[in-house]
Amino acid sequence: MLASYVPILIFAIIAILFASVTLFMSNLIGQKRPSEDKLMPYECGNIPVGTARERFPIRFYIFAMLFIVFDVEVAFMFPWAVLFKKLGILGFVEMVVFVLILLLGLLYVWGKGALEWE
Amino acid sequence: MMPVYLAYLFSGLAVILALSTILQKNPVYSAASLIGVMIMLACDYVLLGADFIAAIQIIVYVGAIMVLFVFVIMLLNIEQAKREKLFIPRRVVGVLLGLAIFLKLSIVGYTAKVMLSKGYLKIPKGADSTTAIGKYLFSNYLLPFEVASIVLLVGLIGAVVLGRREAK
Repeated sequence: MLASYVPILIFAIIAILFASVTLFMSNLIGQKRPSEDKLMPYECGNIPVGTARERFPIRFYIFAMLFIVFDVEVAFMFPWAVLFKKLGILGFVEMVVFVLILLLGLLYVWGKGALEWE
Repeated sequence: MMPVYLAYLFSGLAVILALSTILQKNPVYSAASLIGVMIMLACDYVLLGADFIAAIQIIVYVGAIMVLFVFVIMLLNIEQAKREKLFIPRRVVGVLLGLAIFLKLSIVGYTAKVMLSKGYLKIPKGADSTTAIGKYLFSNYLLPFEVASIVLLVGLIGAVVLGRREAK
C-alpha cells in the first residue's frame, strides 16, 4: 500500500530539488550589480508607499475562521462520499442533519452581515 | 524495513522543524517551520497506514489552520519577537506542562495499542482507512459526528461575535 505513495515522494523530491537548484544556481552564476532601484520591493511597478508590514483588519480573520469551519465540514464528507451507496438513506439523512446545523451557522453569519465587506 | 527508516527521517525532520518553530525570531519563519512540521506529521501518518488522517492533516492543518496563524501574525503585526533570554523561570511551567502532555499522550498511545490488540476496535485488513473511518463514524459514533457540527457552529458564531465589534 505504501508503494502507491512512491510517486508522491518522487514528486516531492523533484519539487524540492527544482526549487533549491534553481535558487542556488541563479545565485551562483548570476551576475550581481545591485542598485537602489533594483533592490526596491517590487509592487507592480509603483514606488512603494510605506512598509508592507501593516496591521490587517480583523475582517480577514473572520473569513479565515469561516473557511476553517467549512473545510472541516468537507473533511467529514470524504468518508461519507466514499461510503455513500453502502450507507443508504440513513447516511443521507445523517449528513443532511450535519449540513443543516452548519447551514444554520451560515445563515446566522449572513444575517449578521459578517459577509459584507463594506 | 524501509518504512522504519523513513519514519525516523520524517519524525526527525518534524522535531528539527518544531525546534525551528519555537526558536526563530521572525514569526513568519516560525509559521513556515510549523507548516513543515505538519507536512512531516502527515508523512508519518501515511507510514502508519492512516492515509485519510494524512490527507486531512494536509487539507485542514496546512491549508486552513496555518492561514489562521498567518492572519494572526498579520493582525498583530509582530515584526520580531523580543527574545533575548531563552531560559526564564516562567518557562519551567511550560516545560512541566509539555512533559505532562507527553506523558498523557504516551499513556493514550499505549492504551490504544492494548485496546486494538484486544479487538476493541477492529480495523479491517486490506480496507482503506477512509472506508473504515466512515463505517464507524456513520454507525457507532453517530452522535459525536453530529456533535462535531454543533462544535463547528459554536466556533462559527464565536468568530462572528468576536470579530463584529469593530464593524459598528
